[in-house]
Amino acid sequence: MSEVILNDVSKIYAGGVTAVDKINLQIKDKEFMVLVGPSGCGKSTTLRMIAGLEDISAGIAKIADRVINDVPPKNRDIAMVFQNYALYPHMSVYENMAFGLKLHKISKNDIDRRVREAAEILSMQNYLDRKPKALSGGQRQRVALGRAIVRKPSVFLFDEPLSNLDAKMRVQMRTEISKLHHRLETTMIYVTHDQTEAMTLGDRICVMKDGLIQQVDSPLNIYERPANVFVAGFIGTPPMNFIRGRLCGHKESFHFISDNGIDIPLPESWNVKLSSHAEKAAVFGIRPEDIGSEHAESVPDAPSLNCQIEVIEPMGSETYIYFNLGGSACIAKVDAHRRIKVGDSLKLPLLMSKAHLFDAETEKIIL
Amino acid sequence: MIRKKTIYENLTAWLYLLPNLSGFLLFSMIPVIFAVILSFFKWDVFNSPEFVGLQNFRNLLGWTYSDGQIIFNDPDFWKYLYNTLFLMMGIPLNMLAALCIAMLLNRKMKGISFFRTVFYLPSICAGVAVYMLWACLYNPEYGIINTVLGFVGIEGPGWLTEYEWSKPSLMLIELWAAMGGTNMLLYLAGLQGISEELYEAAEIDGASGFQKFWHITVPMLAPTNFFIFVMSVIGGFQGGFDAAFILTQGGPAGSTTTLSYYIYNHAFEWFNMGYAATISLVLFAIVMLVTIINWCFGGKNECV
Repeated sequence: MSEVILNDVSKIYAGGVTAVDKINLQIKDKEFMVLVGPSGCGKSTTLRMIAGLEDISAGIAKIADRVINDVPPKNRDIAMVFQNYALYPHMSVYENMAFGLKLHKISKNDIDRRVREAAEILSMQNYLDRKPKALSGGQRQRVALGRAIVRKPSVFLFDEPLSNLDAKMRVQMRTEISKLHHRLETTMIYVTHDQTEAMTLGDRICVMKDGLIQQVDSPLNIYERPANVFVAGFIGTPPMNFIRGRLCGHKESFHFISDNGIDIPLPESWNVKLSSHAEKAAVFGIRPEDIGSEHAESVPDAPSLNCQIEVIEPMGSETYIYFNLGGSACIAKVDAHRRIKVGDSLKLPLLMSKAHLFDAETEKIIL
Repeated sequence: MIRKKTIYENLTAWLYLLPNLSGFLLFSMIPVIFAVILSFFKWDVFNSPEFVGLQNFRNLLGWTYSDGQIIFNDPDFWKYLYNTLFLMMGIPLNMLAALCIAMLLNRKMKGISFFRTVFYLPSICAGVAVYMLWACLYNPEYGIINTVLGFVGIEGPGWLTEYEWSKPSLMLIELWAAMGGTNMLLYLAGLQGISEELYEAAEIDGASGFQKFWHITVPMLAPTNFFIFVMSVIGGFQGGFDAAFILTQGGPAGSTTTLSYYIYNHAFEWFNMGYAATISLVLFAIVMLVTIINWCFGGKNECV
């Protein structure tokens, strides 16, 4: 069992800057947990506290039921892959992978076996004698992975390992890491600011902002049921559209009236939950693929938005259209073959079953 | 048209190069050529130079074999070459001390800039002042070193006046000057160029403090080490003049005379300009040879 538990863990730097504020997180054995958030949200600091590279200012961290607050990194049974690979430039690929094992006084035969096994998994058998400078970025990151694999740790830690790779290599390495997780069946904690990596790799995603956890859930749940405006806006490309306004109506019929007067009738099924928010300021949120899509058009009596196209971005499989809705910049993802041009006026139906409503004051989700 | 433009561009380039080039020619190239020519002459400055062919080289490097013994034509030259090499034995220790100080000054602590400045101060002090200070410290009667030794019942030697102690005393001064000097700065720059992530990776790999130093710091500093070693060796062959001139005048019994001081003596004390030029050329050849050997063997250690 290599469960990782953080109880009220904080990191406060000298000078009183709080990087991580009393976070609670339970990462299950063999789980792939992704910590995601913008720069400065505390995700890397959290990972480094788990690794033992940063002291824990307050709270308790446990790995496999053992409190690790004062345990040195080498005794935590972890391995870490760094953003800049952190390969020893004076050592060959083989020596890089074998270094940690040598320090742990593993026998030469065992080291050789483990290094060659890892090299095979990562298709690096032919590069074992090379120095890191003679490798490409992707190959270097494979060596960094190999160095972690050979240790056979209870927990793998990844600190933005794909950030330095080009887009194509990033996609390739992403699938390799995913395969590796299935093959090794080990707990993995992965830090990234890239929400696509988070969505594609994680069993669960932990979204962080300003040192606080915003939401922990499966990728699909986070996408479909974001806890607040931040999570809704951070996860998803292009991001969710937000329209600020007010919730009007009474028990049987609610409308969202935007600040500039756009009236969106809300589904009857929402009435119960909306009754306590009547006449309050709210934020209406809807993802680009739920505006003007075929699915939205197939729903009878769906409310719609009247808009004038400002920018068109053909993506091949679909087309993004940008328009302004009374001061709010909005994006819709429509069929790639739809015949439209900049300046056209459109009536775009909204798929209300996928729409969200947030409390404008707390920014938490209402529906 | 094209030809005109090329001439104009060349002229502009030469004009840009002129200030540096004229300085180089005047103060480096011409004196070197003059020294090479002079080494074939006998010249006492006051009379016209007399061409002597390779006589100066024979006098300097030649030897005779008599009664089973090699008798050098100029035994002083070999003695002073030995002195120079002896003083250079301090180079590894100087480098180690500079590295230790650099590692201390590379720590993240309050007031580190102050300490860095303090340790570099000796390098910006006038050499004469520093040597005069050491002359006071080494003074056998009222110097602080012998006074302190006297407290514990040891009668200190004449540091600069006794044959056995003069060379080690100069080596100690060199060690003091080297540990906080330019070498320390180079090591500090080298240490700061090592990525913190490498140490973190090694820590997670299970390396202790010493193992991190041995497996990360030392190999990562190999290029800096090599550069400092080569420059120290070159400086070592050319060094020893200031200390000998100010502190010992090459004594006692020539024990602190180095090749550079020997050249000075021949040129400006005894007015053997041709012979001084010959020693300079031989010294140049030695430095060149040792540097080539260094490059051949040490240059391969570069790793990054």
